[in-house]
Amino acid sequence: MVLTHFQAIIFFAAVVSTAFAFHSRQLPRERAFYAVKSFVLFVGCAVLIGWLMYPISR
Amino acid sequence: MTPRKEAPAASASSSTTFATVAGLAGWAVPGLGHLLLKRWVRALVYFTSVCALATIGLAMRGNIFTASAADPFDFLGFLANLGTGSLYLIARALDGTPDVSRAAGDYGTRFFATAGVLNVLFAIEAYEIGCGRKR
Repeated sequence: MVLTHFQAIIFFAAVVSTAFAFHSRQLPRERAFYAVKSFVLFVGCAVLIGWLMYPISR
Repeated sequence: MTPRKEAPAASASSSTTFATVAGLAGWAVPGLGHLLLKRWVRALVYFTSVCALATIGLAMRGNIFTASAADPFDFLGFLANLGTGSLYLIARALDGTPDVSRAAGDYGTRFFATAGVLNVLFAIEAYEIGCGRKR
């Protein structure tokens, strides 16, 4: 199986965010909010770090 | 006639034993510890997330480390992989051919290691719920 970098980070962020939300929050609403926030931070940080490394790759 | 109550010390001992069993079961099979503690939803979520990470990691031809590690980082990888419990034994039995020369293989290695670390975290949580320290 071959995933692109972006597909890999989306999969990783979705699974780990959901697991962390169930681990650290009790109420369904809190879990949903935590999972979404965590997912956005995972993906956002990966994209940001990717762009910061862009000049090095050239 | 009122039912006899257990002595507090005996009750605490039995609770700790059950918590230990739940923790070990959770390590051996992802989510089983929470299943024993009747936390159905968490058991399902933990089982699905750990199995998904491990399966995709293997499918991406990630490296599965062995105890005979060449360097300390490989040994840390082995410890992380061992965290998946029975999934590690299945991965070893399948005897896939890792290919970390491509990025996908390297991601697969990280996915499987993450599955192991998450599973250890969930097993500790099962132990703490069994002890009554966490809801």
